[in-house]
Amino acid sequence: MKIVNDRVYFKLLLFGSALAGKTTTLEWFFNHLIPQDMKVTDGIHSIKTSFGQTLLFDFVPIQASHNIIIRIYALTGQDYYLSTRRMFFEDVDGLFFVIDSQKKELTHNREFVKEFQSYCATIPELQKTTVVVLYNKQDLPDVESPEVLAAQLGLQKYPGLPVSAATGVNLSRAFTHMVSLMLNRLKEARVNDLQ
Amino acid sequence: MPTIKEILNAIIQRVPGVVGVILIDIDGIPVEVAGRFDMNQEDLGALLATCYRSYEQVGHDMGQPLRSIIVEYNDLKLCQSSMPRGLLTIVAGKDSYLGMIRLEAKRAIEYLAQNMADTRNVRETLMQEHKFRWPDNQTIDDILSRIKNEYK
Repeated sequence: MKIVNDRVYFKLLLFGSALAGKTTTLEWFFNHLIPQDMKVTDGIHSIKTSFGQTLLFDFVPIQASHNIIIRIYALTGQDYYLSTRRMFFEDVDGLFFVIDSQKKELTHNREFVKEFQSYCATIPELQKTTVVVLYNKQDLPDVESPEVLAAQLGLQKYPGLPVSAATGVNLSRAFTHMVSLMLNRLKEARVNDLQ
Repeated sequence: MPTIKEILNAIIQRVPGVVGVILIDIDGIPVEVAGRFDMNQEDLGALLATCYRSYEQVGHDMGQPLRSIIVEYNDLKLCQSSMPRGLLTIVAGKDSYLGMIRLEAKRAIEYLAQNMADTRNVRETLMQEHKFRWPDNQTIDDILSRIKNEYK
């Protein structure tokens, strides 16, 4: 959480392997969940590769109230652009870890858990970040359950939800849960500041 | 000491062709803007910070600290300079002089660095200048209720 001028800024990331559904999740939030008058921009700002995948990030700022801005980034999942991802992990308030639940994606998911752990080891404040795991693509065949995936990936300590970014199942729950945790931190900060 | 806004406005006044100056924090949050930008400030801040940090990473891998980035578009020039806790970006017309822009950027950064030397003081000053008020519980609860109700 940052206070700049008269505004409080939150930073929310969507992180996970390539084609896990980060951009689709962000699009669903933008198209189905974020009230029209909270949208600062007409659409999602994307920097894409020539073949249509996220190059640096997809970005949406939300003006939740006159002085609360939530900035949401969906990061690239391409291994090729690994070196650009780390810079987004500073001053993060909330992180959706998007897991591709298909059994064949386990190795990729493990690589991203390892990457996330390396960020946690080098960016101490990341330990305080609210993390919610989205076990995506639960609507597809041949997927693992969130419980099994959490155990396989060592993500049991984080709350998680079975979701489908394609159909929107549970995304509303996940988003409101995340926003409420972040805003509760704002309530705490306000109380501490006023004391 | 001049305010941040005054420092940015002075650049526009002193350098012919400058159309806009934006100071962002290292994460891309707009701290102060002067002049005109034909795009949303939040988007602009996010893009500028990301570009800068990408080049910074390239420099890091080559063992070189990054000092500034110069970009030339068809009709505009953009000069982005790093400073403690932030990035200063000057946008000017194609006929403006890069040397002058860089000189003014350097000068402004000295003032801005003094102005922002103490983060806590700056934060408090900016909060006072902009009449910052903590959002109350009702505002926070309203946001949550509106997001919950949006999806039917």
